[in-house]
Amino acid sequence: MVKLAKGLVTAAGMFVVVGIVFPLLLDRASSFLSSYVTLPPSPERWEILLGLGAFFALTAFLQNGYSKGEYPWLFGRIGAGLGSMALYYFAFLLLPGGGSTSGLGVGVDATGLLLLVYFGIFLSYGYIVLDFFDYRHRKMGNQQPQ
Amino acid sequence: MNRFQVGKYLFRAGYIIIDVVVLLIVAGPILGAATPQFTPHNELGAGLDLSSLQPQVQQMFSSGSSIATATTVEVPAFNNWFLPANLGLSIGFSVNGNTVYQTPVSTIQLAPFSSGLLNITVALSPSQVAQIQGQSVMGAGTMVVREGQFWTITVDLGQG
Repeated sequence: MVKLAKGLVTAAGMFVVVGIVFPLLLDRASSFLSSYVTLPPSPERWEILLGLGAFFALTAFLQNGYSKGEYPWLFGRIGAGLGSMALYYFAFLLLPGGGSTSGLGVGVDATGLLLLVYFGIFLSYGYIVLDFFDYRHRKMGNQQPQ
Repeated sequence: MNRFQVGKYLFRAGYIIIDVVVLLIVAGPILGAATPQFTPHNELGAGLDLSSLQPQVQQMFSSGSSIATATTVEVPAFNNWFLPANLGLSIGFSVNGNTVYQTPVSTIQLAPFSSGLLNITVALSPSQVAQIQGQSVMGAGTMVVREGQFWTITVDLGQG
């Protein structure tokens, strides 16, 4: 029961932060953000961030409503990682494109860097999955009669 | 130590190393752009010291007839960072918003913790000189900072 309550509270918190606070902050910031950054229209920002907020709420519930060693917990961890990747991808979309040569602007071509970041994320996923199975392995070992 | 533990510690070490490398890559050009503003020397990062550009261009135009001959502008380039960097710069001149002349992008490759001079040759044709003389000339430029195959930042320096 405590786990369920903790899961629901953290899920609601994540939804409020990502789905409501983030788009509100972007709405407020859009007027004074650098002219280098072209934000997508406000309804589109709300749509994307509400969706991500709902997804983060689900993963937060799975991580906090279940215990380490249970499969829903693992899905929650992996889902949170995927959600973070989607959020970073959205943030990178806000960066101006590479090769800007007209007017005052900055162009960023970060293809190689992104591949490195994705490789790092793959390794961190590997760690989470192996840690999960290590935990189950040790738990099963402890449950065996001495 | 079981096989899961060995695997998980290897993965953890791997992603910590990747995180550090990403941080090093991202920080180089950012520090290179920031330190000339805050320190008397270019102490960290990779970049070009653009403050030396304006006096040289002004001298070129104030000396009158010398704009008709090819002139080399020297811009200090620095790479006080752990990764090799490729730095590039192109400068141009415009009159009434129309670009009259633009140099090709000159580049310099710098090894970690080294510095050099980026030479840009300005060679105006007689017709370009005629367009510029007696007019209010604006300078413009494009700076490129590249760290290997990881990322390239192109900055339009605008007009001034």
